[in-house]
Amino acid sequence: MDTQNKIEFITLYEPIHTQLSKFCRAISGNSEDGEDLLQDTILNSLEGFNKVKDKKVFKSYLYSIASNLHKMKLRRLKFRAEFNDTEINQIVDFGQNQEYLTDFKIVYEKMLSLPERMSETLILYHISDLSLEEIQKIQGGSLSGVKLRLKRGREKLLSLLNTKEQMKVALMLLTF
Amino acid sequence: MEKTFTQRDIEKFLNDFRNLSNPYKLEKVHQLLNNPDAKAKYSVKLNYKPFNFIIMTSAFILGLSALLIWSNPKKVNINEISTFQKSETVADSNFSLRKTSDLKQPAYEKTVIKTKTVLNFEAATKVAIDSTFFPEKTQELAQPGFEDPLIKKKFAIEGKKDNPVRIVTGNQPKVDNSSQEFKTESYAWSPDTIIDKSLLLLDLSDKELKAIGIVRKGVALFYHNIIEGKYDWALTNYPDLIPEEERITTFNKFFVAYVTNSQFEPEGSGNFYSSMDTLIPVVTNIQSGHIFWFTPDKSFFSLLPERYNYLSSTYKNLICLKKKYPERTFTNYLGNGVERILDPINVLNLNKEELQKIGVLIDNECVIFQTINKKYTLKICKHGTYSVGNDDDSNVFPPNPYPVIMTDTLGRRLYIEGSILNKDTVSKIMNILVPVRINLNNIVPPNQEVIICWYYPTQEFLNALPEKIGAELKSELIIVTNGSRGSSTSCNYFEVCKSSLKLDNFKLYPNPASYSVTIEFENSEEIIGSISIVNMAGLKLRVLLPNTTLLSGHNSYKMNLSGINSGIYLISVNTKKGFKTQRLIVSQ
Repeated sequence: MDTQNKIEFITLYEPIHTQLSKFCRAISGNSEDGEDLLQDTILNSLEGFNKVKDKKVFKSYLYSIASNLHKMKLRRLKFRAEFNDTEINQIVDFGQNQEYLTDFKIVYEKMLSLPERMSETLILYHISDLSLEEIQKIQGGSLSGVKLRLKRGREKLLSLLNTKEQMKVALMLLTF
Repeated sequence: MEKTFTQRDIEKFLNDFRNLSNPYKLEKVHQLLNNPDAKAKYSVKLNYKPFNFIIMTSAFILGLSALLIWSNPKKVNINEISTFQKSETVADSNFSLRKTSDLKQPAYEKTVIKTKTVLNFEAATKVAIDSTFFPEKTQELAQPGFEDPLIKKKFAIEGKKDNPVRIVTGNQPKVDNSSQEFKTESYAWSPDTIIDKSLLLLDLSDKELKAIGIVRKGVALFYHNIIEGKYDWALTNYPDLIPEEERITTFNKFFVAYVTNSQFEPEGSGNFYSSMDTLIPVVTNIQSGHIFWFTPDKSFFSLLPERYNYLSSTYKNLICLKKKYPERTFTNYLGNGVERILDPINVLNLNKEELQKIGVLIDNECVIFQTINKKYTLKICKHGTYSVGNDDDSNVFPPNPYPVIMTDTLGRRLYIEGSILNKDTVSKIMNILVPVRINLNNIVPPNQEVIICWYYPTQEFLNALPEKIGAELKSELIIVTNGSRGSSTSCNYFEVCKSSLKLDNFKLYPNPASYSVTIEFENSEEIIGSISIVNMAGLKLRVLLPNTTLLSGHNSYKMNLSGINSGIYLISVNTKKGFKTQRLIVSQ
């Protein structure tokens, strides 16, 4: 790739660096995997940068690559993103009280356990600060679909947070 | 009291997350653009310089240990084996019992090997005992005070001439070719011997296979053996592709005791792992990569091509070793130097129709797992794995019936369903999950062709299983949940049920565990015992607590799990009075 292209790439990339970084970290569950994902995204997008004719779609192009790379990794490992316990202390300010740290951990863990597309929508909108239209471009589908996923994602997250799973297990065991 | 979360909590979490400082510097991106090779790889980052010293030191210690052991080898003396009887090594070969299917019927099912057999367990055992391996030798060995110098001499010469076996680890006996003493010394292998699998796996041409009774033509295969007019073995794969006149029926004394895939996973039930060292694996190279495991018999070796001449003496020694040390493994089919201390976890083998009843649909492209109301689906396909359906169903526990955990055949590479991520839930249900084998032939790469799906035993799941298995599981569940045991109930499935040692309040926590696990139990009397971590195949991976006195009363041990891969394992407390096990998830 020539220097001209690199300059063009970095000029387009710089304004969205923070947003993309947040997305990568949030969706990966820990900052090491997040950085790995960010770097893979940059290298992959750089490779195909020449093929992007309309530079207006650069943002959604980058996010799509990040999202696909993340999914590919999950599929390859047959793993659901698992939240790393030690990570939370690095993410959240140490000034916060212990109870809040625990809550933060629980909410984050549950958010990652949502269906892939749903948690991605929540992260893109609330953490990465993307507009609904931008999310639509990245994820495909309709605008109302994005809105619905956001609404349902939040509802589901709330219901997951308040599900008393232990009670259900006890009930199941009683049926034997 | 448990906290109830509100939308405000979620809002606060999302806001706080958004406001976190960015951990990734833009300068790094510039560096990356100018030098793509500088991409950070955390797995690589961790290694090398600090470890170089450790690796070098370990290598030195190992070398030194090897030298010390070499200078004082503990050999097995053939003379010590006084109770050797005819072919006992294969007496526990339980032939997988399958329904009879007519050989003349075309085999429509792809890559499925159909077995025609009139055997039951006793019959199979009898045939195994009858198919004597070097009877004259074993009979003589059986006599106490066996001192025949001629036989000793023969052993020594065979050991020297015909045995090109490279021993992977352990102490090969010192052989001085120029010395006269060699001829009078009995040839024996060290109990630490491990034979490399590449020397034992027979790769035969079509013509050579035909000599031992297997007709192979491309993906088609036909094997039919009748033993003494009584026992009828048949294994076929696309038999229609082989013309009637080319199909042969043989009357050999040796037979196929087990069929496994290329990962040495047996089809059907039986104690394969305990007898695999003394069985002879023949790679068939048909589409599904099956391996046929023949019982050892003198006549079998005489039919093999010259390049496998060494096998006869190799198996003689292997059988002697196995007799002397039945719990040890002398081959590295499953890895180096592992010891089997427990029976493998019993995995259900269901056919396509039976799998369909528990919500597993298999076609040429995908394996599909569906919940009972079909609202949530997981697809494992050639082009990837994905889930369909955003219904609450996917996070309701228990997913009904739906696998809550998926692993490979040795319990590794975990996939945990989101709804049981809660640690309390996992530890409560772990011991009653029912493993089911799912074959992913043609869908995933060959070394991942079998996955084990672990189901929560709901009433719906148990009712969907074949009647006999369902009923057995239900009665065992009653034992596991109530702790009482009826006189007529046998334990085949759950290790908690199989445990023979009485330890009260046996607990593991945390479960799933990452770096360490605490094992607690109450002991009624002082006893010497050890604690080990064992994999699904019953092979000991590590001794967590070597033989020590387990005090009467409360015992608590914190064990280090570093270096154990993510997966499902058994924690086993072994004493002279028996053992007790519980399942543990390791999630690194």
